[in-house]
Amino acid sequence: MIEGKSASLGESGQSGEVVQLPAPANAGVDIALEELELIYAYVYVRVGNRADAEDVTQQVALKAIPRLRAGASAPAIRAYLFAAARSALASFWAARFGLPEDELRDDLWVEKHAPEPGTASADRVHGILDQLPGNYRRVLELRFLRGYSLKEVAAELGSTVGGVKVMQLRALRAAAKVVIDA
Amino acid sequence: MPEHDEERAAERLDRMVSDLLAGKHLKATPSDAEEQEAIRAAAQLAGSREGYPRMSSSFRGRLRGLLEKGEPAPWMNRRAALVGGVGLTAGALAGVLGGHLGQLGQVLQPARQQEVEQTGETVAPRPPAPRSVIEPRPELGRWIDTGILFSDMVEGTPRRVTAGSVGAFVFRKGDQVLAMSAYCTHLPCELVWKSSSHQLNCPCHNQLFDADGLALGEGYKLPALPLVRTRIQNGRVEILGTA
Repeated sequence: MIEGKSASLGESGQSGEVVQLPAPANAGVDIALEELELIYAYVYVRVGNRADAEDVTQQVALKAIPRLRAGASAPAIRAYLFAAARSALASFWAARFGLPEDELRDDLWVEKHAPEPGTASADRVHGILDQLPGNYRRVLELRFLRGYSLKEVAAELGSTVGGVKVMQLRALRAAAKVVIDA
Repeated sequence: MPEHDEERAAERLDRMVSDLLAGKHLKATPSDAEEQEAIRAAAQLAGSREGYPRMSSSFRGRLRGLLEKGEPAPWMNRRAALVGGVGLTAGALAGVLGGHLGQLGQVLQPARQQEVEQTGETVAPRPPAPRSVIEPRPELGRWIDTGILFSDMVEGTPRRVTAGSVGAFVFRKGDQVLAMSAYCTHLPCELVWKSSSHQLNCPCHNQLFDADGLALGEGYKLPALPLVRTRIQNGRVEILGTA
């Protein structure tokens, strides 16, 4: 179907009835980059740092190029990119932990729908933190959401750096449980 | 000793947390598998710090280089060609591209591309409602070349531009361009384009604006985004900003 229409486009362009702009050479790349912004956000909220988010996004981009050339539809491209991103993320965690990919709890912290970057992540995090005991919630809020150093957290909580480290470990274990049980 | 084990685990985990918070690679190894759930929880928390994670411009540039090595994607070129004013009906468009792009037909207009380019006319705002327009003080106002070729613009994908003190999103609307403020009319937060829903979103209070800059959502309607004067000169998009 697409091929047929493509031919008729050429004809109407030559008929003189309409003005056809030269096809922009990099329009495809621009749209691909916009799609990859979504992928980057999707990956970033899962790996938590720019460096790894960039690596995984780049892998997805490389995988996607042949698919782009094959002329798939826009929704199909997006679906493919997200599938590629999920697979690249599974490989990322499997490589880090030395585990087979199918052993990973891929549903961990992962909402069912494709991401709307940001809209839900802050709410989701607060929803999880709210279920933790007060001291665990506090240490995670200060450390992650406010970016306090260990020293600053210790001063704020009247604890020691070592004490905060242990509390952070317990709080993160507890946070992971909240997510799994949810 | 269990206590020592916990301290060591806490120490290792904190090193990862510190790296994450500094934007560095996660340095987990197979020996950390026991703590994988806590580590992934830490990654998720670190990842929630940015409401709208965006690629850095240098990374975006790298990706662009990567993608440009390949042939431009045919599905994208075809769409761009359609929006460029080939003059298909909305029905034909829907036939080619599938229903979700059919609405493009509503904004497709007879191609007057070269006329617009040659005359450099200022494009009138589309929405009917009275709309504020950003008018820089005459002694400071300047037409700024955004560096964007109109022919490179794609319907449904605005460009974010800055011209001195004026920040704007520029949309292609058929053979015209429409530029509007890039800042929410509620709180002065910078809007983000959501290509999935074709809306501008304010990260501060989740306010939405459509591609004409009109506020969406129920209840009290925020003012529409102020328009920014824009024109096409020699095929390039300019906006009225400040020097």
